[in-house]
Amino acid sequence: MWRLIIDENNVYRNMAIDEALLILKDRGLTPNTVRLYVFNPSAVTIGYFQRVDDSVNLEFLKANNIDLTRRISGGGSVYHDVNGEITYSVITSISDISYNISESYRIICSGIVNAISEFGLKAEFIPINDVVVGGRKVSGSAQSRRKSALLQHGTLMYGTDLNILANTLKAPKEKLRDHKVTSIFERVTTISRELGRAVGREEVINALIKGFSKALNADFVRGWYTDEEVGLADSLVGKYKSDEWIFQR
Amino acid sequence: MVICSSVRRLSGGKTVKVDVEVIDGNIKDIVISGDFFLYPEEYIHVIESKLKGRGMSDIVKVLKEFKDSVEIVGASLDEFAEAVLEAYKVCVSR
Repeated sequence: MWRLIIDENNVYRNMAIDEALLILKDRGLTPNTVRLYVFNPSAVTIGYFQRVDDSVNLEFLKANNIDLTRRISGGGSVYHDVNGEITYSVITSISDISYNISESYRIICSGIVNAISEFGLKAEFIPINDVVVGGRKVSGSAQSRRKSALLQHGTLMYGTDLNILANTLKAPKEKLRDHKVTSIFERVTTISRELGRAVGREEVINALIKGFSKALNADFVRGWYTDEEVGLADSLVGKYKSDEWIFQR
Repeated sequence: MVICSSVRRLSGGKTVKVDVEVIDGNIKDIVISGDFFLYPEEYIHVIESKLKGRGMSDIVKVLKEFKDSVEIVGASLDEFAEAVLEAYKVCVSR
């Protein structure tokens, strides 16, 4: 039995909740959980190892009131569009998925592949952490581990404003050269763009529930956070808001 | 103060960037950044810290010390060592 939480917060609280659940899962104090959530207002998260200046266009973020924080997980920068993107988190015991990190990415990302197939689209998992439709990225994931628990969170873009995304994120030149394309815009897509119709948030959430249920072999029970989880998340929000954390590299 | 950089694409598709400051042949400051996945994440600070004060001949040796404590998905410690060496060489050739 897995807990399912559907939620909406600002970027600082969303990242604080994910970290709190990982910490408490590692202590055996939290059930296996899938969160499906929205960033409100729209925001950018960068990977743990990224430099702010190399990954995001800070001036554009400031001019457009887009929040920014650093994740505890590695990987790249992500634009979380309040009207076009659902983020998922899987918080579980490592023993319930796989001790092999690459394999655990594949298993959890198959939930995204399944969800996209609910729309009649063929999606493909590209190791390490991407899901593509027609060669274009619609989802990226990142995983962090503690001794006995893992947190994997990731995106599913169903209607992200790709113009804003392209203005928000910087991609390393070396990486683009290898991809043989010149802009983020040509490398990413959305479910709506692929289907040629505007897909709604509820449709995407329902598809993700089905997709993860199959991928994780999980029966979901809708639930909410415990007081302990809320308390720990509250204590972590300040870190995610701080320049010390965000601009540490 | 001169910061030298190298950017390289890792075998698994991710990117690593090294920014290094070298004084008298030794690393004064270093930041290893990028969109890679290194576990446990906090060890990046330990790696950077152990590289400080070291010269070219120590770079590979220092990174090898982490072979049992660090896992990089889609890359090897050797690739990280090569990236550090590349940035270092840019600095000392100036």
